[in-house]
Amino acid sequence: MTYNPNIPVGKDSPANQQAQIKTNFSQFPTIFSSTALGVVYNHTAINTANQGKHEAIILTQQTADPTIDNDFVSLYAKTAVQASGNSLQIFERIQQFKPTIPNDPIQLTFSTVNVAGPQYQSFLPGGYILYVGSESGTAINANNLAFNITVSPTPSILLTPIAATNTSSARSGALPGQIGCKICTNITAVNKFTITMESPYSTLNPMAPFKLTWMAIGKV
Amino acid sequence: MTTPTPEFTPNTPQAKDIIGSSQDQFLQNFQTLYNAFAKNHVALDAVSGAGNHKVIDLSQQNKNIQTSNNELSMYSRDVTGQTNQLFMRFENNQPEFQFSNQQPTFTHSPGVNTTFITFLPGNLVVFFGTVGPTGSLSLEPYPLSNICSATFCAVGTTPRNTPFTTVVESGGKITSITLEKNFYYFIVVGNP
Repeated sequence: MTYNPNIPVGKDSPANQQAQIKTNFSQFPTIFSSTALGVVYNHTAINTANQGKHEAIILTQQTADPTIDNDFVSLYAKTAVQASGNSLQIFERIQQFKPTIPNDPIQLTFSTVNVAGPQYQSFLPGGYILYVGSESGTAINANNLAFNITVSPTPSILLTPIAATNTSSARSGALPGQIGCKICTNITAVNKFTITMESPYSTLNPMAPFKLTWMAIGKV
Repeated sequence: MTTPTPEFTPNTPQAKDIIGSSQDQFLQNFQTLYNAFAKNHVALDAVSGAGNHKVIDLSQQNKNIQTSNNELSMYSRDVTGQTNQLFMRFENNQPEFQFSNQQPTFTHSPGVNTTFITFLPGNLVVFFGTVGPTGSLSLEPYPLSNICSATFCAVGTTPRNTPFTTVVESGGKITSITLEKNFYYFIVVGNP
């Protein structure tokens, strides 16, 4: 038998429905702390010191965003539309607090992270992917240095690639406080951008080591 | 006419009750538990997944949350000038921090000033996008009380120096940043 919220029925004595009443009571400890492979899910077991608290929380897929009551923050799971493949993600919804800005659902997570490098990848709330990386080498002439970066996973649109030089070999035109070389970035495709950097080479520094770091933000 | 909501009676049946006379309270208790549980959870009588969460509604907390060893807590707290936001506290009462923040925005308009907004845990707002050629980067609608980091990089294929920038304040908040009139990608991180 499963839980039945509609018992005892009629004028019949509960005593005559003992089995169903017992089932209902027994369902609470079973459901509150469901266990699989030694892991307790959702709620801490009844009759334990921490009863009422939560264990590993399972969020089931929602097809609609919740409405927000006063003084609440809602967390839930919903399929996110993503260029790299739709998948279930954690969303948050808060109250509207700026009249001109709707309290749209906030996608908090993204499907992947890359912590191995050399191109690292994480995510930002709001459905954004963050990519970071670096380039290094030795400049042997005065020609500009160019780097073609392909980010992965592919975003729906690349929004902001930024690069900065980490070399003290400022070559020309640098003012106090401007210790790096001149640099720029240019988006060339939905998942590609180029970095162009002025060479730190000079006749006084004909084998000029350089390093630059970059980060880019795209929409999922 | 609306159906009255059944109320939970925790102290039933009493020792001297005739069990049959408690039928209404048994029924109401089972229904109340069922309805309350169904607010955030897969129903108690679901064929599968009973007890899993559909949504987690976190009500505003007005007192300090305590965490013991091997516990962390996520909860809602009201933030002055904002609204209820998600907070976290790690085990053994580590300092709490604000996890969520201002509403992220996404409106893409290629070729003009375009600002996107997101946040980082720790009460940090992140503005990023493209500024130029007006030479003015607006931080509205979330002016900052403090800028932690502002990074600019020229757009295009001709390398340029990092621009000098000046912050513009109004009402005790930084409302914009002025810089050289060229196109730059930017990322600005600050406290609201």
